[in-house]
Amino acid sequence: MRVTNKTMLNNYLNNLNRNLTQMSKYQNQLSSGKEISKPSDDPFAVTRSMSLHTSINQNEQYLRNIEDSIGWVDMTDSALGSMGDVMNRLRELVIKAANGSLADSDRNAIKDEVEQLIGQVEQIANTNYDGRYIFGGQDTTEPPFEIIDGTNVLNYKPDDDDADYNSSKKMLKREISQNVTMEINVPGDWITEGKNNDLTEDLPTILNNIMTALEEGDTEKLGGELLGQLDDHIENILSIRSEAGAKYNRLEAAKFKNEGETLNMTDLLSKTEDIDIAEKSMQYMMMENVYIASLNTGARIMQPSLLDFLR
Amino acid sequence: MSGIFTTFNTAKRGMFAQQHSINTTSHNITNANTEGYSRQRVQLETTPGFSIPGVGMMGTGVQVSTITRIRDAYLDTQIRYESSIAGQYKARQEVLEQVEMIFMEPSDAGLNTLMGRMWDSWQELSKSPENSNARTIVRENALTFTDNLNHMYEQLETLKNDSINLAEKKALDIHSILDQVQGLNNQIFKITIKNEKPNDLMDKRDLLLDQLSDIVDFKSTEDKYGRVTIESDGNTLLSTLKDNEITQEISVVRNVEENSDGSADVTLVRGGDSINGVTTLNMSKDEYEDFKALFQQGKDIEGAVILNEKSWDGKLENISTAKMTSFNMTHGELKGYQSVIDEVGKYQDELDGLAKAVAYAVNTIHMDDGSELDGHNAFFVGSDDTGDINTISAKNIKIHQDIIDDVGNINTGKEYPPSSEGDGERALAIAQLRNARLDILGISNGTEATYDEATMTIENMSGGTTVESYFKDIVAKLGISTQQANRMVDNQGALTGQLIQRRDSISGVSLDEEIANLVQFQHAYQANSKVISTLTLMLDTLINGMGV
Repeated sequence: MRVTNKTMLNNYLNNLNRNLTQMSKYQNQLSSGKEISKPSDDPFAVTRSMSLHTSINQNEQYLRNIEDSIGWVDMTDSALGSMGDVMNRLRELVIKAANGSLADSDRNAIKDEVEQLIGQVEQIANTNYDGRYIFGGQDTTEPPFEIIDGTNVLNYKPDDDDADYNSSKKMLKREISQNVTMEINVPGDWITEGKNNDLTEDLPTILNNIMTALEEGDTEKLGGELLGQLDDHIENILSIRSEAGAKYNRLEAAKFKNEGETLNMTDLLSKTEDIDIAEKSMQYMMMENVYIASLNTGARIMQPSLLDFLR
Repeated sequence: MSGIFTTFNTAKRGMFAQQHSINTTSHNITNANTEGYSRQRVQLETTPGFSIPGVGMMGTGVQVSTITRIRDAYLDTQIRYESSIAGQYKARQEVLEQVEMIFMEPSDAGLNTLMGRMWDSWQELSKSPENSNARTIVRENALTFTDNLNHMYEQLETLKNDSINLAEKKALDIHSILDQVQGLNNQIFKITIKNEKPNDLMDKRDLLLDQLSDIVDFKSTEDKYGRVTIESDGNTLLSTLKDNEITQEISVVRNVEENSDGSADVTLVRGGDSINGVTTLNMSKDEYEDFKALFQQGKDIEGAVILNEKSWDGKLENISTAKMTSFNMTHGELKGYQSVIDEVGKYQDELDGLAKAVAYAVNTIHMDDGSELDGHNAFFVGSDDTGDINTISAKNIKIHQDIIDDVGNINTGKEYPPSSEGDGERALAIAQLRNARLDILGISNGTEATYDEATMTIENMSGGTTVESYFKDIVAKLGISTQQANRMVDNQGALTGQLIQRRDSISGVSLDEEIANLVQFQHAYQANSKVISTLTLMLDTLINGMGV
C-alpha cells in the first residue's frame, strides 16, 4: 500500500483522538466514582441501579415507619405497665378496706389514696406520644379520658357519643414492608371494657363503685364483687400488654430484616455502579502512557522528508 | 536523412514535455492539502515518427497525451455509502445524547428519585395526618414531581423543534449542493466536449458528492461527458437534461396543527429555506387525510420530508397530494433526524402516559372512585380542574389550586366527613400506589381499573407495571437506543476512516514522491537542453568551421 503524508497524519490524529476519548472516560469515572453516568453507558446496569435505588429508598421509608411504630408500641407498653402497677396498688387498697375492723379514719385515708390513683389512671390513659394520644384510636388530637369536673369520676369520653370521638376505636395502620401493614395502637375501650368487650363492668364504673363503697363502708361489696371485677381488669391489662409486647417483637424482627435487606441491596448497588478504584487507576495510568507515547510519535513522524536529504 | 533542425525540434518537444510534467508536479505539491484533490499525472507519448528510406522509422520526440487524475471510482461509491450510514447515526447520537441529559438518570435529581420522594411523603403523611407540616411536604414533593415532568416535556419539545430545524437546514444543504453540482456539470460538459479532461472540476464535484452523502444516501451515474445524475429513493434529484436539471424540491414538515373537526394547518419549509420557503397549508379534513396517507402509519408527521415540484407556487389549490411524495431515504443525516424526531415524540408520549397513570391512580383514591366526594377535589389536574385523565398530560399536570392554597384539602382519611384528624388510611392507600401494577398504556386509552372502596385499593391490572418500573423501561429504551447510535458512530467512523485511507493511498499526494519526480524531470529537462547546446556546437562547426 502506498503511504502518503496525509495517510500518516490522519492515522495519527485518529489514534490520538481515540486515546484521548478513552482517557477522558476513565477520568470521568475516577472523578465521579461511578461506572455509569448516563443510560447509554450500560442500559442494563443503569436500570438495575435505578431499581436498587428505588428499593433502598423504599426500605428506608419502611425503616422510618418501623422505628416510629416501635416508639409508639414501646410507649404503649410502658403506659400499660404503669397502669398495671396502679391497678395492683388499687387492689391492695381494696383488700385492706374490705377488712371490717378498719376504723373510719383509716378508710378515709384509703379513699384519699384511691382518689389519687383514679387521677393517675386518667393521666396514664391520656399518655401521648409525639403529640398524639396513644389510646385515642384515630382521634389522636383529643384526650380520650377525663375526670368529670368537681367529682372523682373517671370518664371515657367516646362513650358519651360525642361527634369528636367517632374514630376512637379505629386502628392506626403502618406499612412496615411492601404491602404488609400492621395495626400499632390500643384503643381506649380495650382498657375500659376489655379487648372483646367481655368484661362484666367497665373500668370507670368499677372505680366509681369502689369510691361509693368506700364512702358507705360496704366492706362486703369491696371484698367480693368489686375485688373480683378489679382482678378481671388487671388480667385484661396484662393481656393487652403482652399483645403490645408481641407487636414490639414483630417490629423488631421487621427492623432486623429491613436493615439486612438494605445492607444487601446497598452492597449490590455498589457492585453495580461503583468503580474499583485500584483497577480504574491502573487503567488510567496505562492509558496515560499510551497517550504520551502517541504524542511522542507524532512529533517524530511529521519531521523528516526527502527534502531534508536533497543537496 | 534527418536534419539537424529536426533534432532541434525533438529536443524542444522534450523540454516542453518535461516542463509540463514539472508544472503538474508543482500543481500536486501546492494541492497536497487541498480537500478532495486527487494527484495528477502527465501521460507522455511519442510523437509520430517518419520513415527514412534505407534507415527505417525515425523518432521525432515526445508529446503530452493527457493529464489524468488518479482516482478509484469504486472506492468513492463505498465511502459514500458508509458515510451516509455514519451521518445517520451521528445525527441520532447528537439528539439522543441531549435526551439523556434531559432524563438525568441515574442521579439524585432525576424523575425516579423525585417520584420516590413523593410516595415517601405520602407515607409520612399517613403516619401523622394531623400534622400540617406533613401535608405541606406532600404538596411540595408532588409539586417538584409535576414541575419536573412539565419541564422534561418542554425540553423534549424544544429538542424536537431544534431537530426539525436541523432537518430543514440539511434539506437546504442538499439544495445548495445540488445547485453547485449542476453548475459543475455544465462546466465539465464544456470541457469534455472538446475531448479534454477537467480533472480539478471533477475533484470538486466528487467532494460535493462526498458531502451530500453525509446528508442523504443517493446513487450517482456519470454520463459520457462526465456529468452526473443523482437519484435517491427512486426520485431523480438532479438530471443532465438541459433546463430540467432540478425539478423536485425537498421540503420538511415543520408543524402540524390538528383541529377538532379533522382539518389541519400544515406548515412546510420548502427546500429547507426557513426564510422564503415557509408555507402554511390550511387543509380540509379530506385533504389532510390524503396528506397523512403519504406517510408510514404511526410515524410522526412533524419532521417528515416530502418531495414536491420545484415550480409549485406554494398555494394549496395548485398542488394535489399526488404531486407530493414522501421522501423515504434509507440513510444519511436527514434520515437520522427524521427517525430521532419520531423517537423524541415517543418519549413525550411515554411521559404523558406516566403523568396520566399517576394522576388517575392518585385521583381515584383521593376522590374515592374518582368522583368528587364531599367537596374533595382531584389531587392532580391538567387543563381544567376536573382531574379527568383526558385533560392531563405531562405538559400540563399540576396540583389542584385548592390544595396549593390550603393543604388541609389533602384528603387523608377514609371517612366522610373526616371523622378524626388522626385518620391517615387514605394517605396510606395512596402511598401504597407505589407498588400498584397499573396498565399505563391502557389508562391513557381509557381503560378503567377496578377500585375497591372498602379497602381503597386499585386492583393490579393485567399486564401492568408499577409507575417506577415503567419509567425505568423508558430510560432503558433510551439507553439502548443511544448506545446503538454511539456504537454505530464508532464503527462507521472506523470503517470510513479505513476507506478514506485507502483512497488517500491511491489519490493522495506524497511529497517524497513528488520531489523525486521533480528531480527526475529536472534531469530530463537539463539533458534536453544539453542536446540543444550540442546541436548549436554542431552548427557552429558546420557554418564557421568549414572555411568556405
